[in-house]
Amino acid sequence: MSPSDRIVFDEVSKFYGEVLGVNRVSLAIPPGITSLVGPNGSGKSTLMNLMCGLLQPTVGRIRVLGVAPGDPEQLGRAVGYCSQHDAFPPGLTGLGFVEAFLLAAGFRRDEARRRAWQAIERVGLAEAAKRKVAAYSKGMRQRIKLAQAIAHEPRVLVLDEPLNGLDPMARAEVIALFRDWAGGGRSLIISSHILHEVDMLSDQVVLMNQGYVIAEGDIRGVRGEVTQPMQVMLRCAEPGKLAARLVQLDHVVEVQLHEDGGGLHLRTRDADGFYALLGRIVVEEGLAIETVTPLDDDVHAVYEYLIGGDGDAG
Amino acid sequence: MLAESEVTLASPGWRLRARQLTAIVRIELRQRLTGLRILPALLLALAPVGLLMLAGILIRINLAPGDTPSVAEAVKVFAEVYHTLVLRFCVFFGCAAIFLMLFRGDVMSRSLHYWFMSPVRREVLVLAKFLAGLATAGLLFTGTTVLGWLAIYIPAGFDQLGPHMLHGPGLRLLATYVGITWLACLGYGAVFLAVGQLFRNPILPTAFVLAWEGIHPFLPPLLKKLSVTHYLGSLGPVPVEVPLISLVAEPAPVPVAVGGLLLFSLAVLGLAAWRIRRMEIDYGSD
Repeated sequence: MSPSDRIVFDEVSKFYGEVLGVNRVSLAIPPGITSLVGPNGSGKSTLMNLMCGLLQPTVGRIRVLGVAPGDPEQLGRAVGYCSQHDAFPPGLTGLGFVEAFLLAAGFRRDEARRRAWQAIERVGLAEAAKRKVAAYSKGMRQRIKLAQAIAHEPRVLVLDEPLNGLDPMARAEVIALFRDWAGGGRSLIISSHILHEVDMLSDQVVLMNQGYVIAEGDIRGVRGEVTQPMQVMLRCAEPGKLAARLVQLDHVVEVQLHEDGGGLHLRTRDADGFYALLGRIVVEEGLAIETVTPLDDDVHAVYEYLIGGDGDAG
Repeated sequence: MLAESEVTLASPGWRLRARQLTAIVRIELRQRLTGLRILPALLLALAPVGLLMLAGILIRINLAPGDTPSVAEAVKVFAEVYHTLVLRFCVFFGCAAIFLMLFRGDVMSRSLHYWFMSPVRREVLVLAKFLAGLATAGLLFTGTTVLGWLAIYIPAGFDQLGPHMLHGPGLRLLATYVGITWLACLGYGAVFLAVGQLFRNPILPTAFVLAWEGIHPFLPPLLKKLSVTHYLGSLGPVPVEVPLISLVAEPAPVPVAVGGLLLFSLAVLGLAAWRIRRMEIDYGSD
């Protein structure tokens, strides 16, 4: 994959006076869905605003599909942006809002109207398109912002907390839209604090804390970078027998039997090694395993390990 | 893979930029000329008209039998009101209300990023917003000038209107005042657009500009040239009283006054265009 397919941060730092925004960020984000995860003030929005040219780096270089964020003519064609701020130019209808953006971009009136309708239908807001945005619910406003961001068919979509305020049905529709969008080799960058959705959605995650990128990559890969033991839950008929074998393994640091006698929890420093040996143990001991569930392969657990929070990335 | 937008959106160039400019001016005009946003400037535009009409009606009512007020006297009164009230107060604060909010308003409503994320050069955005502001202010205060001018015929009677406008100096004088109004909107507009962009809180800089324009008569000739009032004062077709204690500067010839104001406005707009390329948006924390 060439740098013109990626969003590249090269040793980028951003300071607001004395205050750190992000520090020495180097990333090459490939096409697909990438989630930025981190607590308040971690630098997620700063990173998004930097790649959209809304902020300028104090030092370092950014290229979005090979385009410098300081070139709004090219960048605006390539990127669609949906801010977390629920604000709109006053007095516009949903259709007018999307259409105004397309007209300002330079589309002819008929083409702008066609594209605006197309985008609004795509986010399921056609019936409310001619109502004033001011009268929209929170979820409708999220969707009209999304329509505006995708209306010109950008190759990169940057969405700051895009699932906020959506009801479960709309959430499912929007997530489906994201998948469809990113499926065509395009890039979707989202920040979200709803971690199980990030987990379901993302091809890769960027974990941030206090202005630093502390881990990046696909979730399993990021988990692999963590030195803390990984948790696995097993449900089986004779957990005591299995536990006796498991505690003999060097990399297994803890085994806890379930109170109901139907399974166990273990913590291991070498998950791959554990999975490789498990099959042999099962055969040798003649055990019947019902389920094997890795408990740490979701972004929530990774987040908890790396940042030490409770998983609410807020 | 080329995105669809790149197939149908023309390549960046002057034709596309002209289309973007037109579209943004239209969008801005629709926003500026409708709703409550226009109210402060509208009230400022109507104030001198009301005052002149009221004065005209009172003079008319209190006329002694046989008195025939002269239109020439009324023109002198108009000139004083125009320079002291219309230009120095109404157009000044009207332009402040309109142009300060061109960017500041979008920042306050947290919607500036919609413009910044459009595939539009930011310089085009500055020019488009300025033109929209200029059209709004120009139309409003042209209305003030024309309606205020018509009010001067109230004491003498509207039967004087035709002869004075068509056979006397009326039309030329009115056209000159309308021209000065547009130039004032241009100069003050450029200043306030830049102030709205450069300063988070524009009150102090606006007060400074007001004070600077106010002390204009007392400034040395060289510094006078850095004020909008200097150029506008040189263009007035009817002489107005100057304060007794003032440093007299040679009035600029009309081409110099018009050219100077245009250059001054261009320079300020250039500063605004340079500044906007570096402008950052940060509505709040992460």
